[in-house]
Amino acid sequence: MVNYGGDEVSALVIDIGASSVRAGYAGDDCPKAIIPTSYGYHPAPPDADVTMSDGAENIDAVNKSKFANIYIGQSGPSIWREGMEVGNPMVEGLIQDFNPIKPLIDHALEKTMRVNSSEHPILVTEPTWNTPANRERMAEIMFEEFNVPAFYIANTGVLNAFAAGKGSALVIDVGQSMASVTPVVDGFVLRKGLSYSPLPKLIHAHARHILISPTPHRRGIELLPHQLIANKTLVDAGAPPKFTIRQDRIAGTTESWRNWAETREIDEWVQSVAGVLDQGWNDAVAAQRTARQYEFPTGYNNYFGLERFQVGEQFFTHSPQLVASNPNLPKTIPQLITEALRACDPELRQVLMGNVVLTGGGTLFSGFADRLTAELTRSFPHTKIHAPGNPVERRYGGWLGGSILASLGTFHQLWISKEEWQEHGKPIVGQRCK
Amino acid sequence: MKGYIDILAPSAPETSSVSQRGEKEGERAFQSSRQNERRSPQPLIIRYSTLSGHHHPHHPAFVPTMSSGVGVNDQCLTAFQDLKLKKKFKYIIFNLNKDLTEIVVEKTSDNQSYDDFLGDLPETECRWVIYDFEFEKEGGGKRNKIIFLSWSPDDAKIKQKMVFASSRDALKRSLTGVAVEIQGTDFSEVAYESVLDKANRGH
Ligand SMILES: Nc1ncnc2c1ncn2[C@@H]1O[C@H](COP(=O)(O)OP(=O)(O)OP(=O)(O)O)[C@@H](O)[C@H]1O
Ligand SMILES: [Mg+2]
Repeated sequence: MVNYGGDEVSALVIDIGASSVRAGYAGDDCPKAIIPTSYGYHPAPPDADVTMSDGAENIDAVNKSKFANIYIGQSGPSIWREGMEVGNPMVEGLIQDFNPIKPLIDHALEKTMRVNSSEHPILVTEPTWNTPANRERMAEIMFEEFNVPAFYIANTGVLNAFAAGKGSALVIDVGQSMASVTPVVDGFVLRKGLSYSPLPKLIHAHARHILISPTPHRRGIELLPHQLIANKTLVDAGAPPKFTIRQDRIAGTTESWRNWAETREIDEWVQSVAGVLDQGWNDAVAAQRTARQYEFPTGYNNYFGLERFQVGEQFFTHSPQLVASNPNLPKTIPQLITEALRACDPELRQVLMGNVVLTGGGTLFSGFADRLTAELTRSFPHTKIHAPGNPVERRYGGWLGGSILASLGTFHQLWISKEEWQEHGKPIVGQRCK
Repeated sequence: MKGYIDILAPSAPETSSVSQRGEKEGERAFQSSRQNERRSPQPLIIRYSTLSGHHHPHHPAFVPTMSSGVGVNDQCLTAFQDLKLKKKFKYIIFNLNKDLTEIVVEKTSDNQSYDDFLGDLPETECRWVIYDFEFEKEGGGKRNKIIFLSWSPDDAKIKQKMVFASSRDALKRSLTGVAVEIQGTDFSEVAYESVLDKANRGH
């Protein structure tokens, strides 16, 4: 509880990632609202009046120029609509398009949590590579559009280190679009050592490649989402699927929606089937592991053996062929760590390797923590990895850290109050939130 | 069919399909870059032990870093001075008060047994400790060093870990003369040998 203007109110905590927007009350142990960051929209036709369609957010909340309608949350992109496009404001871990941010946060706070933002201080998280302009813009949105009484923006690396009980830690965050390694030293980010890459996208691209390419043993797989399938019949493993396409929807399906839907198919396959070998690549070991069965929305189903481990291997190594033909491959986890440690002297390296913190949904990838331990102990025998077993704690460590911090009465000294914002404007953000 | 990698490197030429790599390569990614490092050593950027206290020289009272805002009770400083200057204690254990508003002294002791001291560290709760560590410097006779230990065991509750980690700087800043800092998450990290090793490494 925070004492604000005499009233005891809970602060709110918002953590925006490429996959989801997490929002909830400070002091809670998990976010009340977790809504997909991708949203559906109908673009505004130039100079035309628009009518509200089913499931659309209140148009007042929507930036008037860009969207005719915007669809968020449960009735968001997962519901097929004719001509609906899908957007996502995040690029490389940063908010690139602020237009949908207000509707997304509105949805989380007002629709899902049913709170009035003007009554609650709000703490927002940011990655280390956030830009000053971006955080100031966030402060502006909070104060000017959400009317919050107080605001703070907190670094996810430090939040994760603190939530693990550590002032100094090497924080490894693997999300939907970015993987990053952040050295935190005595509660400060050692910026020089920050390293990050869009590695999760390569994992995803690799999984797609494996699925859609035919092999000697099976055909290429069609990644049709269930929304485009009228009905399907049960078939044997590996047999051609028998399904009927919803022809009525094909013409009205946009490319951005189709991409989004396929990405979801791949993501589900990755989460249920893919893994990584814990001791490094080995054909024999990979072949020995049990193959896993998976069924796609078309009804096509098959067993996936060796292939499922090739996907996870990409977190740790790139094949020479891939490297030869792609000079700009995203850095692997070991490369990111090496780069981060280069900014640290040997003594600090020892401290950091004894305090490695795993966070982000990507670290839940089957076998990830074990493989990382194997890789790191080869070079640093004293490696100790902190990887919360509780999936909420693991995936939303940044949110959770912010939740605890913002719930402390003593934290009031750090909030930027509305009065301070009005008096000092944007520079106060950089001064207060280091 | 387009090479799947195109989305990442649009200008890249056609890619050959990805196949398995030998076991060795798994190691190379990490170790070869370390070899590079050895060949062209990077200049030393920041020393761990000199980091604290140098960040915000203009804000002695107000620290605009992400911290809990928890205060430090005066008794902490008094006890610390008694240990440092008057050698009244061997160690001091600090805790947060019940309301989580202030850091307070939980225990002072002149018990010389390191094992007894370890017995004072709770298995599932966080604490801070100042310890007057006496040891034989290799070839240099008896030495004393003041150790600052942040004790945050793996099994402590996440809320306590968070509050302790984000309050540590406040306590640390008010205690001048600490020679060695240790972050302990299990008993092996605070074992006598491990502390001795760290104490010996400093100047
Ligand atoms: N059990 C699991 N196995 C494999 N991957 C998982 C698992 N659970 C979640 N993920 C992956 O985690 C990713 C989402 O993680 P997270 O919520 O940390 O990302 P984000 O913070 O939204 O994204 P970013 O940090 O890139 O902005 C998804 O890509 C999802 O595939
Ligand atoms: Mg993230």
